Amino acid sequence: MTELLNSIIQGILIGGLYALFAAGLSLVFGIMRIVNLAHGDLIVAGSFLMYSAASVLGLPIWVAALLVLPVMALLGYGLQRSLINHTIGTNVLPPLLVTFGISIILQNGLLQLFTADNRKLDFGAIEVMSLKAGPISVGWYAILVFAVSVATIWGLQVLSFHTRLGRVLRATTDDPEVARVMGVRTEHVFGIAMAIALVICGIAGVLLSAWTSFTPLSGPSRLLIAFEVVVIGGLGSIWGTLIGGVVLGVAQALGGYFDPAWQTLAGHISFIAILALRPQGIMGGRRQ
Amino acid sequence: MSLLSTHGLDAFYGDFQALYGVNVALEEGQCVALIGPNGAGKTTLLRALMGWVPVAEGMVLFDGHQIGGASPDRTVAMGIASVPEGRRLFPSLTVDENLIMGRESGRRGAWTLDGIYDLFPSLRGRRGHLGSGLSGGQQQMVAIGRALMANPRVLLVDELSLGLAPTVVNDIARALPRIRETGVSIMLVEQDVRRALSLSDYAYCILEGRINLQGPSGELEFGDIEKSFFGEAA
Repeated sequence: MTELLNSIIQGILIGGLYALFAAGLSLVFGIMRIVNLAHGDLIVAGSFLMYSAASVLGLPIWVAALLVLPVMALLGYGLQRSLINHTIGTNVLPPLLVTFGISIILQNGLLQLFTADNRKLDFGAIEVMSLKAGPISVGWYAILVFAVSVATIWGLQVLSFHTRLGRVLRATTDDPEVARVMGVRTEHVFGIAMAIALVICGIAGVLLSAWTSFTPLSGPSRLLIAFEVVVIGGLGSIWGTLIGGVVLGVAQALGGYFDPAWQTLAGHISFIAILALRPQGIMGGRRQ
Repeated sequence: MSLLSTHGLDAFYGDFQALYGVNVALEEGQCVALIGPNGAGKTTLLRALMGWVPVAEGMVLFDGHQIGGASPDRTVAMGIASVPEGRRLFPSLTVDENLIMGRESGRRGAWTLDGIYDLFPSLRGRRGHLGSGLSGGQQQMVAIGRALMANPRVLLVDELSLGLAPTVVNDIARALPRIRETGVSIMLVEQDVRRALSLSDYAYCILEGRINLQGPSGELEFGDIEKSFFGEAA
C-alpha cells in the first residue's frame, strides 16, 4: 500500500515535467496553428546544451542552467523568423514538413557532435536526498522539478493574462489578420511565441538532464508525451497542461506499480481513454 | 490636396480583378460614403486602402505619400484605422482588452478608454465581458472604439449597420458626428443608401469594380442611385 502511494506521488511529480513538455507545443499550436514536430528534439537539444555547459565547459550547475535559457530563446526566435514564418499560410503541410526536417537535422547534428552514447548529468547530493514522512519517501529532486514546473506554468499564465505581451499573444491566437490591422507585427509575435516555447523546452531539458539518461534520439518519445498531455489536458488551457501531465504521470506510475512493463502502456491507455470519453480534454472547451 | 485618395486603383483577388481604375478622394474632416450592391467592390476598396489587398504603390496616396501595398500594421501606424467587415472582435479578450488592442499601433492622442466609454455608455457596464458575449450592436461599438484607440486621422468603417436592429444603428450613427468633431475623417461602406447619404458629405456609387456615380451627398438623386445599382447611370 505504501509502495502504491509512493508510486502515485512519484507520478504526480513527474507530471509537472510532462506539463513542461506540452506547454510550449500547446502555445505554438494555439497561436500559429502549426504542429512543431521538432518539439521533442528541441527539448533534447536543451539537455545537450546543459550537458555542454555543465560537463564540457565545467560551469556550475546553476550558471549552466541559466545560460541554456537565453540560448534557447534566441534559437526559437531565429528559427521562427528565418524558417518557420515562411511556411505559415493556408496550407498545413509546409510547416509539418519543415519542422520534421528540423527534427531530422537536430537528431543527426547531435549524433555527430555527441555520439549515440547515453548521457546523464549529476546535480550532486540533491539527487539522492529524500523527504521522509512516515513510510512515504519522496526525492527532493523530484519535488524541485515539480516546483519549477508549476512555477513555470504559473508564470506562463501570468504572462498571458496580466501583461501587454500576453494580451497581444491571445489576440493573435484569436485572429492574426485583425491583430495585424491593430498594428501588431505578427511575424515578430510568432518569433516571440517560439522563443517562449523554447525557453520552456530549455527548462524541461535542463530538469530532464539529471532525471533520466538521454541520447540524441530521445526527442520523438518526448514529443509523443507532449502530444498526449495536450490532448488529455485540453488544447489552449495553460493549467490543463499541468492536469494532463499529472494524469499521464500517475497513469504511468500505476501501470508500473503492477508491472514495470506496463508503465508506458498505461500512459497510452489513459490517453486513448480520455480521447474517447472527452475529446476536448479535461480543461478544454471552457473558454466561454 | 486630399488626405487620402486613390489613383487608377486596380485590385485583384488572384486572377479575379475586383476594382478597375477607381479614383476616390477623402478630404480632411470629411465623411465619404461608398454605396453599391453586394460584390461591387466596396469592401475591396477599403481593404486596398488599409493594406489587406495588395496594390501598386502609387495607386494610394495618404497625406502626400504613396502608401499602396503597405501592410495593415504600417497603415494603422500612419493613421488609417479600420472597423473590419463582420466587426471581428477578439472573442477571448474582454471589452477592455479589445479596446486596448487598438493602442498597438503606437499612436498616442486624445482617445482613451474613458473617452470610448463616454461615446458608447452602454459598454461601460460590460468592460469585463468577453467580446464574444456581446450583442451585435455592442460588438460594433467595441469595433469602432478599438479603431479609435489608434487615434487615427482616417477611420474606415465597413458595413456600419449590417445585421443590426435599426434602433441600435441609430445609437451608433449618432456617435459618428461626435467622432468627426475630434478631427477624424471617415470613409464608410453602408448598405442603407438613405442612411449613407445622411451621414456623409460626399458619396461614390460602385458597380462591378467601377465608380459609376458620385457627388455631394445632398445633391445625389435617389432615382439616379437606383439606376446606378442596376448599371443604367450615364
